[in-house]
Amino acid sequence: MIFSHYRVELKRLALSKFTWVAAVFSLCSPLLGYWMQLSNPDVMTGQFIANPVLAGTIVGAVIWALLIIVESNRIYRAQASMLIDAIASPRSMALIRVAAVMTFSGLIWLLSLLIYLPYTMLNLGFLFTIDLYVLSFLVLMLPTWWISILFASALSQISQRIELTGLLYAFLVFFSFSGFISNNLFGTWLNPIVLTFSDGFSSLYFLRIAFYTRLLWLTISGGLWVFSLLCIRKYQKNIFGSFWIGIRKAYIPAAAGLLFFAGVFLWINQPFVDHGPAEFIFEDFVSPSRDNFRAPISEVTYRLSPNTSTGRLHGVAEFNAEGARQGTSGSSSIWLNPGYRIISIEYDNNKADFTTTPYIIRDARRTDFTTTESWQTLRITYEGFPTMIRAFAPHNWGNEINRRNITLNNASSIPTVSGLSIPVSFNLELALPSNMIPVINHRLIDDYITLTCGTNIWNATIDGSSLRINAADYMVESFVAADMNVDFIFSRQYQAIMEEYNISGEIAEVLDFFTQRLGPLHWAHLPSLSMLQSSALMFGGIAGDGFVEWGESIFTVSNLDNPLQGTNAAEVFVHEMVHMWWGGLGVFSGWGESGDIWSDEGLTVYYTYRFFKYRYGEEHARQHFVDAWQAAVDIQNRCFYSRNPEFLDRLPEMYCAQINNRNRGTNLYARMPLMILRAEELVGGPEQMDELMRHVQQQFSGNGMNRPFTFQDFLDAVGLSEEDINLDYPI
Amino acid sequence: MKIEINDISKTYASGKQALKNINIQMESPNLIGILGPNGAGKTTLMKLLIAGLTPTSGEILLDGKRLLSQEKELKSKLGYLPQSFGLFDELTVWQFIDYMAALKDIKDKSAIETVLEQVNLTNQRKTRIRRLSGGMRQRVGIAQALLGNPQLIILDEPTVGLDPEERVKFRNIFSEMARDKIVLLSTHIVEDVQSICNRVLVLNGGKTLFDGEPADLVAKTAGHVGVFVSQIGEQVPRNCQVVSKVNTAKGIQCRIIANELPDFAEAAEPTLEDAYLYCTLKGGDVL
Repeated sequence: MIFSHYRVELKRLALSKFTWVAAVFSLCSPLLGYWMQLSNPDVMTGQFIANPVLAGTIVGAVIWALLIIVESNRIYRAQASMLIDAIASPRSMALIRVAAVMTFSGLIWLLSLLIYLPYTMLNLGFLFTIDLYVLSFLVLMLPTWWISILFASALSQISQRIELTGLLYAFLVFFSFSGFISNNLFGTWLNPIVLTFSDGFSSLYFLRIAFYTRLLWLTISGGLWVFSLLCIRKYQKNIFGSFWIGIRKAYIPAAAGLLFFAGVFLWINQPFVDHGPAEFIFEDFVSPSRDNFRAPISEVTYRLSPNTSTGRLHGVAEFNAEGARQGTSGSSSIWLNPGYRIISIEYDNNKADFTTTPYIIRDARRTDFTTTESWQTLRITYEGFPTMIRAFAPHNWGNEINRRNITLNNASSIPTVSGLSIPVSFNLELALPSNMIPVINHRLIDDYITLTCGTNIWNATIDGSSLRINAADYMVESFVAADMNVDFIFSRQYQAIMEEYNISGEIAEVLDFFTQRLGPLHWAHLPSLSMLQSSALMFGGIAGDGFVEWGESIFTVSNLDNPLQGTNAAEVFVHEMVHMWWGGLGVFSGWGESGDIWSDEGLTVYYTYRFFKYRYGEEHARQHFVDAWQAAVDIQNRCFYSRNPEFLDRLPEMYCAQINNRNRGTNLYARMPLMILRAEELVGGPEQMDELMRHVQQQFSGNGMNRPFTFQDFLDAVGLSEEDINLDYPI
Repeated sequence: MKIEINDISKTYASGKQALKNINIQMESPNLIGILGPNGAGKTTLMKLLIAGLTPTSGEILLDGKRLLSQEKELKSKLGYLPQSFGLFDELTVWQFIDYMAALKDIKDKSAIETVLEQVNLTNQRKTRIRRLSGGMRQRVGIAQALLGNPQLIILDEPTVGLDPEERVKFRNIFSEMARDKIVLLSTHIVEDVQSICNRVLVLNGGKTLFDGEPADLVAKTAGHVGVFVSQIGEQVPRNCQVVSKVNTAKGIQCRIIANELPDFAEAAEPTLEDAYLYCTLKGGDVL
């Protein structure tokens, strides 16, 4: 019987002109995505899949909501309900009506998916994958349309007045876009946050989050919709009278409550973002050794098995003490990604008691444990889904594990244990699908065994105590530049692009340019330099001891075709390579907190500017570098709290951290480069500056002076005082 | 089917008392006409019978069980035409009836053809409802009420907007339908009731003034209806209610109802309309 009601309601809907207006507009709405930038348009899949799908998602959702509001109102206003209610239950009809609109929207969704398919395939070419295309439509668009329909239908049933329903719905839309929720991955019910897709790696990261948030909002909107059934007017009573009658059918409030509860449960227990502070606080990562717990460790082995289907990591960390039972009893702490659950802590044949605390610093949560006897071997087993740092969400530096990409950083890969005296290297056993090549701490490793189940076990002894894992279907191009071996590691999907734009040639040109001016790179003694392309989730890039890692978007066609557009991508490309000269000088005398502007960023930004001046001319370099620095410094100088930092303490902690972080960025990336540029003028020009800096490189490279390269060292090197290069502005 | 209305009262939230202690029993077959002026409580009574309202006090039993506890059964047996209603303008006549048939769980499409034929809309079956005249829309409303041969048919002002010929035709249809079921007909048009109803219910001010056969109502009015010819400007006595005035060659022929006819008036044979007016005029006291 319900099915025959549903059939005729669907048929009726198909004959309504409003339905077809909604259908045509929602079919056209993805077109807006080719102009709107809802996701990173630098990435081709962002431009031709994420953006159109997101535009279709948002606009279509509003259109379908308007349809059900108009349809519901028409039935009330036209008094068709007078006939229908005498035959069928108004609640059943509400269910059938919403199901019919959802079905119709589903058909239009399918049509959209088919209509935009050829154009998307044409534009993406070899970057097109059908699974990403279909998943994007399936995860982002369809559920959001349904969430919107459920909300609109619920509000319509509650208010039964079109203007009030419209107002309440507009409020919900405002809520989703409003400043206090727009950066919350889970609050944006209408506009799922998809910062970027990836052409060469995987876009599953944001799709996973979007799937979760769609599920969350489907339960909440479903709960509200079921609740609204109680408000359907009955016996000509008002909303309260009808509610009182409806609530006697206990299954309705029970179902509504269950759905609401499920929504709240999903929100609270979301696995993607940790529950750390909202603003990143540059606090030292203190891992206190508790009581007298200590052990000189002779060997550390980590066995890691990322599950690329579920996105979870299973890890075992094993610490062997030097000699027999050198590990002392006592209490200690383990720091691990907050998304991981410690399964067990064993010392020799004993199990340690442990308590997971809510205390989070940076990307790690503390778990306290106690050993009651001295021990030889300490084994920690853990498992879970790596979370992102709350302060960086949604603009995350996320860890991810999926079929096409793995990125895991420090606490997301291995634990840190207080009180252990760790050796200078550790053993790693990493289980990966056979199509993936690992890059461990930015170096290729080559020792692996193949298991029969399509898994390779990679083995390596890694220097240091930290671990970053990148793994994907990489290609490696090895070449020589400035007398150094270079391994350029990039996604196989990008092979054609890397060849067409001769990226290895570009790398060689940059390395040559700086070798000529600053002398040989300290890391030239390494077997090779690593130049790694990682997923689009990495915004910008990083550099370190003989390696550079760039986010994917540096190499997208749109950025490579327009190297001068805002200079961002090309600038980062060069900037990270410059860091190899200045990053190793131990120049960090701080993180650039207010008042401390000296770091390696100043010289790196200055020398990046020098490369652009050489490559594109003085005019370009002035416009995109010097003028931009000056503009940022001017803005900082106009800020009341920058000029009067003594008032900062009166602000709430979050705002205080925001201002400090902004000041830090300006100091490092604009004020200091301007000061160095002034020094360049005072010492007689760029050639003289290069000469002096080449000398600094010889002196300090690899921290040969055994102390940091300080601001005073810089002033001494250029023969100037701080007053000489001061910008005459308060810092 | 048997419906018992036991001591029903209905007071709206506004404070208006629409029905006061109504007691009625209905059993099929029955064709009951409900007469009453505006605000008498006719529509309220009908809404109570279709479970569109709850009574303030009293109860309605359907085949011995509380009506409100068996709404589903009631809806499956009900054909209802409200006084004012809306249709889906985008549908054709056939599509709309098909829609209503689906809601009534009628799978046999011939039932749709039957009611369209009954209401004389077969030729308009493919016409969009937005293109129908007021009378035709009313016929669509009647068609959906008759659809599926329901056991209880409740029609609120069904013949409004119909031309005289159609009214006659529909009277016959209602009469035909009432052979094995309960048909409740609320109307202002006394002639409709007179011609087909075997039972008449007169409501006024929320009270039942009369419940019985139309002939009984007429009989009780005998001796209270008269005619006389008056000249222009002549006043009608205050204790008389003029029912009709007809201009004739001799002057204006007035038909009046009164408790006691004046001497100059000649007694006339009462009609049901006279009886209904006399009944409402006297508030049922005469009955």
